[in-house]
Amino acid sequence: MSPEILLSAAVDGLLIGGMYGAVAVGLSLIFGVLRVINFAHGSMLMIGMFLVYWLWVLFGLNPYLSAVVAAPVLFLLGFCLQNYVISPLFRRERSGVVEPLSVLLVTVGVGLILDNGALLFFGADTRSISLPFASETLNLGAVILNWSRVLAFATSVAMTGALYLLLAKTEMGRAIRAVSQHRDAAALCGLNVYRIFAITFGLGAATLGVAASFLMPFYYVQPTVGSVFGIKSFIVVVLGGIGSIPGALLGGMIIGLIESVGGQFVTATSAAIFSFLVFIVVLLVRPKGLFGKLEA
Amino acid sequence: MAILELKGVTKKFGGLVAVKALDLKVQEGEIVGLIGPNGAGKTTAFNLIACAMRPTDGEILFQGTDLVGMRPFDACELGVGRTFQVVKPFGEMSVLHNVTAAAFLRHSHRAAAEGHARELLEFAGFTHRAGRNAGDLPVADRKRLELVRALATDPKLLLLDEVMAGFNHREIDDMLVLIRRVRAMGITILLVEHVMKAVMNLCDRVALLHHGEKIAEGTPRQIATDERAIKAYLGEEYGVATS
Amino acid sequence: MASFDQTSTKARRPGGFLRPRNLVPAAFLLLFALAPQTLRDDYYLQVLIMILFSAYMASAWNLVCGYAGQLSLGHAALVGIGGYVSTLIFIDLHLTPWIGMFAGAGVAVVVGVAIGYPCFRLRGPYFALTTIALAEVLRIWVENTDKVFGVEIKAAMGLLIPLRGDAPLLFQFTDKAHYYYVILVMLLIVVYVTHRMQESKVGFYLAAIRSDQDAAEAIGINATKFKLIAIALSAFFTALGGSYYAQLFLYVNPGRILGIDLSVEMALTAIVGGQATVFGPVLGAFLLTPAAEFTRAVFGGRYAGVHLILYGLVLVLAIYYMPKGINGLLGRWYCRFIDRLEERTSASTMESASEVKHGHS
Repeated sequence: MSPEILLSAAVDGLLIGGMYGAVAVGLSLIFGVLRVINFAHGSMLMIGMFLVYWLWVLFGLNPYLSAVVAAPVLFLLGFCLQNYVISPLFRRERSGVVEPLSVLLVTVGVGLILDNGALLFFGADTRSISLPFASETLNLGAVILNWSRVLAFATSVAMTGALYLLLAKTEMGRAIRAVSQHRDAAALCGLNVYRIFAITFGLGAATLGVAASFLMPFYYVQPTVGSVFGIKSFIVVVLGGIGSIPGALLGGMIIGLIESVGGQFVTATSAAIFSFLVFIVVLLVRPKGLFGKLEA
Repeated sequence: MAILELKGVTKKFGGLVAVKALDLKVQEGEIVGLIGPNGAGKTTAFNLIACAMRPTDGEILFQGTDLVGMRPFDACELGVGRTFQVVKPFGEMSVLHNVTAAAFLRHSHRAAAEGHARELLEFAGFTHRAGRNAGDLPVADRKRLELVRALATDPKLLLLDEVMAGFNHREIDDMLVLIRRVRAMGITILLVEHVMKAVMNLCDRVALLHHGEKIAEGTPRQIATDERAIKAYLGEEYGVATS
Repeated sequence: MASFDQTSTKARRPGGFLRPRNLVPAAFLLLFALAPQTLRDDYYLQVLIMILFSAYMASAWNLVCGYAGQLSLGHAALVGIGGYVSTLIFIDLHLTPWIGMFAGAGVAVVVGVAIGYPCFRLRGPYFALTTIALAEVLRIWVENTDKVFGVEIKAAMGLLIPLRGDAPLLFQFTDKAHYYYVILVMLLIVVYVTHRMQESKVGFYLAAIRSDQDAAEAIGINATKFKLIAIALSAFFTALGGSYYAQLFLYVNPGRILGIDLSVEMALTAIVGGQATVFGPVLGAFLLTPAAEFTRAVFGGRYAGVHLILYGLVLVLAIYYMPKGINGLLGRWYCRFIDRLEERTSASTMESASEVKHGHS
């Protein structure tokens, strides 16, 4: 095992890990603010990726530009999902009618519908986009980097940073943080908690739209992609710490690194085991994760 | 030997000292009251005795055995029963089943456990509610259920945490009767209460906690006339009224 | 407890055994016992077998997940352990699966308890995620491993069980009806065990634990111990089901028997049917499995996962409109139906009106 190969794998892992982080950041937000475990997260990403694919195939829209379409569409999807499907359950949970965990199960149901709906309408075939420049590489000495991955990483960092700033500096961000800390107190301050829930969910989904448009140039899409990313997102969120935006990015990079370097020693599919083991260990030993504010 | 003895029991939550070097002795068959303003550490003391929490320091001797480090169900098995300040009924189960569940600690078979449960419901005058879902009960009944459920574990020491909170006069009187009947069964009672009428009427001795420390102890009469007690908790009017 | 179950020890009513409340279930039982004789088409018998199998698996899942209130979405791991252990014992040690299946169940119990012990303290959703992770680790490991300690497990290709034709002692039958009766008996056993457990100390304790664990501990219940009992029970029956599955299809592979789809199906069936009830999982199976078969028949093999859309839809609707599952809904009707039947059949006796204390305890 030459050090160059290992280094390449490590860097590659960090790059794609950044992407995992970008995908997971929306989940961390939803998790942190609404305390909802959204099992449909990966499925929404998959829908976003199919959207980007079809925009390319039907309208020739460059995937990097289709973020402008994908983000709002997914925002709407998330907003509606929260507002019309999940919030009614919240209301019922308060009056004690519904079991806890019902929201989780509903998202499982939604995920099943989305995943298999995609299977029904789009078929099981793998689709991918090939852009001319995307396969070009950037040579940094011993390390050869794929441009599209570099771009994806850069976007991940930028998007994560933007989300962080939005939460820290804007009025809406403050409102979201207030709701995440104490829903009743926020309501007493005059905040429309349910609307903020819906906006937060929409925001989390919108990040998936952006992520989708930067994933497509070097990844592929098929209906099962949803569950792969979905599960990985949970691992990343727990590792990075629930509710922590920078944690999600860092957690993603660590997972990407583990998988990429691990994949040099065992088969690529086996490398996934390492991530799962990290996940289990973190949950049992340090539930807060790296930067989490909330206890798992 | 005292049935319960707390020696230098301290509980810290980070920087906050909830209970400070508490010494308390409860003799068998007594009814002892723990009073004090909110935040004085009364419920924390209960949680420590019932092993729901572990003290930072000190010993808790129940019939000579140190409870520190045990888990709540161990303490219950040894004979410590408790109620919760905010009631915790098993909402989906009926009143009878709530009590039966507790009775299983001493009776392994369903028939025996249920029989014991029925006896206790009878004892508490609660039989008419046996079939109701615990979650549907009004507050006074829930507190009564909580007490009966704790009784079903055949405790030797019963910790009652604000078991009369929010009661009207009639309900308070009924509960006083019930508690006296429990004592008549030979059970020692330690209770936290804000309802002064109950404390003064029921308790053999009263301990006053303030900021985690015991600042006064004695018979109800002694406490009512104690300067420190009046200043910290009772207030001038009440102190004067009972002297 | 559950409204479907006529519980609580009431004074014995005169009239003995031949009352509607015993006769109606007996009639159902007879129906099921005679089914293979009346069904002409092997296809329908296969569907019925799958329904009963699904009911069995959901019931096994329910033992820990419904009753102990710990949502597991990784039960396929236990199924796979059962299937693989009994199969490997047959292939390598030449021991009949009838014995091998109990070895598999034993392994599953150990694994279940070993996982439960550290993980039960995780709160609901995190426990669910952990079970997913553990099951996936097992699946991925098996998929990438050809041999372990010299024993061949053939990775993703899976293991074919050597054909022995009609060999009842080796758990292989040529007549489908025999498979049917085996799963019918297994289902009856697990349903009976569930019922007895629910009415016993264990059942009461688990109900208390899932209602309020702190209050349960305050009345002397060692929550972890009883949750472990529940998972041991569940693992035992789940693994037996895995062995049955292996013998039914004469093939095990990680994708199916260790897959998350199977875990989700088991969970879904029990949830939709009614968790923590004796008949909930059975009802769930009778709703979902035929629906799945029907969609499979209509959409053909081209679209593999279409029945899952239906499952997802049913799950969402069930959470909304039937939070207590089908059992919650039908249970009351059934009780009222039985009551009315009993009133009619003993209208003359005085006892009919008096001591009837039903279900909602």
